Amino acid sequence: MVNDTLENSIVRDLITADTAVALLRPLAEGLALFAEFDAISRIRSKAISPVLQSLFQFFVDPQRGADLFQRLPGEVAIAAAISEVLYDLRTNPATLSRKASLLLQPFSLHAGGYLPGYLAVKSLWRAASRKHFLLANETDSFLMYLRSYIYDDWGFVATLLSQELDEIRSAEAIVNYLKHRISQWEDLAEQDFSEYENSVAANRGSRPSPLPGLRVADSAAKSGKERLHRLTTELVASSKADKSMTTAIAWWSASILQRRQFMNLASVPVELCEKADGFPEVQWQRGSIFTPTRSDFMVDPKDSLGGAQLEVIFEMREDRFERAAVVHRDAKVLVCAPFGLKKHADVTRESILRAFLRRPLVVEAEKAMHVLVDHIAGENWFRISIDHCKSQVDSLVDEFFKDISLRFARDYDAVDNCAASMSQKGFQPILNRSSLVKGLALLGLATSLNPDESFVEKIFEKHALSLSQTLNQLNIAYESRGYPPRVLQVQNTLFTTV
Amino acid sequence: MNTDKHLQIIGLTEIELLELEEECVNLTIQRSSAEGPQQTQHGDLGLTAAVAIVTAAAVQGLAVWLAKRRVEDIKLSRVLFEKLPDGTVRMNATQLERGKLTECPDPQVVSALTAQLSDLLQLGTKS
Repeated sequence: MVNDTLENSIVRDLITADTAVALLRPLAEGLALFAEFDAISRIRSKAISPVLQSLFQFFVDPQRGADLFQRLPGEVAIAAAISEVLYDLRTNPATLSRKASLLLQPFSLHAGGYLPGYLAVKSLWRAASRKHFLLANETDSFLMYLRSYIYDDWGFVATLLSQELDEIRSAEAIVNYLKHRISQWEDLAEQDFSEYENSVAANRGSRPSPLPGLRVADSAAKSGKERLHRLTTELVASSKADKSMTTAIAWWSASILQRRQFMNLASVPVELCEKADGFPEVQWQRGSIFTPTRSDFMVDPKDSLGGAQLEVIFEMREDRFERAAVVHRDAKVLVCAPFGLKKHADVTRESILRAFLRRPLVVEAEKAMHVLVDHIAGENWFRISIDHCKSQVDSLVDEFFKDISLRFARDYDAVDNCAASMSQKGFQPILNRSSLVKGLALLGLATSLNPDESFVEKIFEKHALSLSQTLNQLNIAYESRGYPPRVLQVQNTLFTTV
Repeated sequence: MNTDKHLQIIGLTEIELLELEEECVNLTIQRSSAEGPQQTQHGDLGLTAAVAIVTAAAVQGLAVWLAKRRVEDIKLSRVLFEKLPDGTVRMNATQLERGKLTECPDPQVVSALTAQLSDLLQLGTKS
């Protein structure tokens, strides 16, 4: 039996976490989709995002890269190489199918929030472009700025860690904070974007905190830092107390407060098979994937034979990216094979092995935390209380996204009507035909590469679609439904919000 | 006697499902939560699954839809279909060509696919 204060604080924490996830998940998905379908760095950008940096490092053909660097100045060569990779990606039929399918997702937060999140990011991009016209084309700079505006905001940290005891007020404070933050977006000036970009360009691999240009009040930043410091200190102290599960959970909680250094790109079951000549090879679905070298084996190669798990790990270290294939059996690492430059291999291996040593403890702590939360939340009065709060939070979050995502609809009626009609099948009820959904998707993909009308027209021809017909039908849809926003045509340049 | 047969389709994107609905008006298509590549928990948009109610009258439309997506090689088309132990016929759309569509598919390919689907679904060819 838990006491009243503890019960209340558990409900408050659960609701706070749920509210933050409900708001941030669609935005995170929206940012990721914008990176996939829209972001591009051009020669006028002073800095490029880690997304495009890693794209350049891992996806540019080395031969092609060398050729471009021979002919062009460094920054121009990087921009050209990235553009070539993005051209191949965004004019690919599979990408068109993926984006068109995104536009058919429900406009609802209960389906992953992909469509509301993507449309919210695109609306914010359009609003930012009106303030700082360069962002209309420098979409990667916009992406970096928006990510920082939300995720590097100490004021938001202060709100999330506020001492408010009432769960509903705590949830409202989070929604209201983000609402206020987004309404401030309107006041941003060209100088904010420039200050931010200059700071990112000048501090590659390290981050001044708070970053300039994000419009975070000093008092809010101070409060956020203090609250996070207090929580971290408390968790670190608990994690050193003894060896119980409470300790492990405290350690796990402290670790998730830190920026993630590793990403797991793939995880599949594999087999290490003996080879007549040389070391065992790693097989997946009975096909050979790679043969590790001697220095990649963390155990005697003979002891590695049999079933295991392969994970492809992506590490962001300072301003560099590293990748490695790790084959492990339960907690035991059998093979750690870094890709990339040989001179970095030892440091990468060391850093990954250190993380793997802590892994069983992290996994156990995470499981224990879930069991504990499910157990508490399963108690009747908790469930009722949580469900009641959640329904109120859901409607607040729904309103939040409706206002941002459909901001460029013709008027309030169009916002309400479109939100309702798009709730199940996205744009389908508005655009009706699959060809128009594809046309709208392609318009965004093509203009992200080059907004010149004749370029866009050629991309449409490549996909057996008509640009003029698409623009015409989109105009008809806008006239009758008030959404999607009109495609702006200035001289020979096209600008679309979807 | 009800001769409608159910065809389970996995690995379709949302836009392909819409195209299928538009092009095969005789098919009744229901989204399903059947096994297959589904929206994952890891934040990917994923693919969708559906069940199509196929009648003898609709089978040719479905064959045309498939042939347009370059199922020209009948050997390849055999990998598209699978008869499950419970008798359900499953089509794996992940193997379809997602590039340019063939607007006028080869009539021989269409009739071969129609025959193959009718056979698998045990449909009479007369509607």
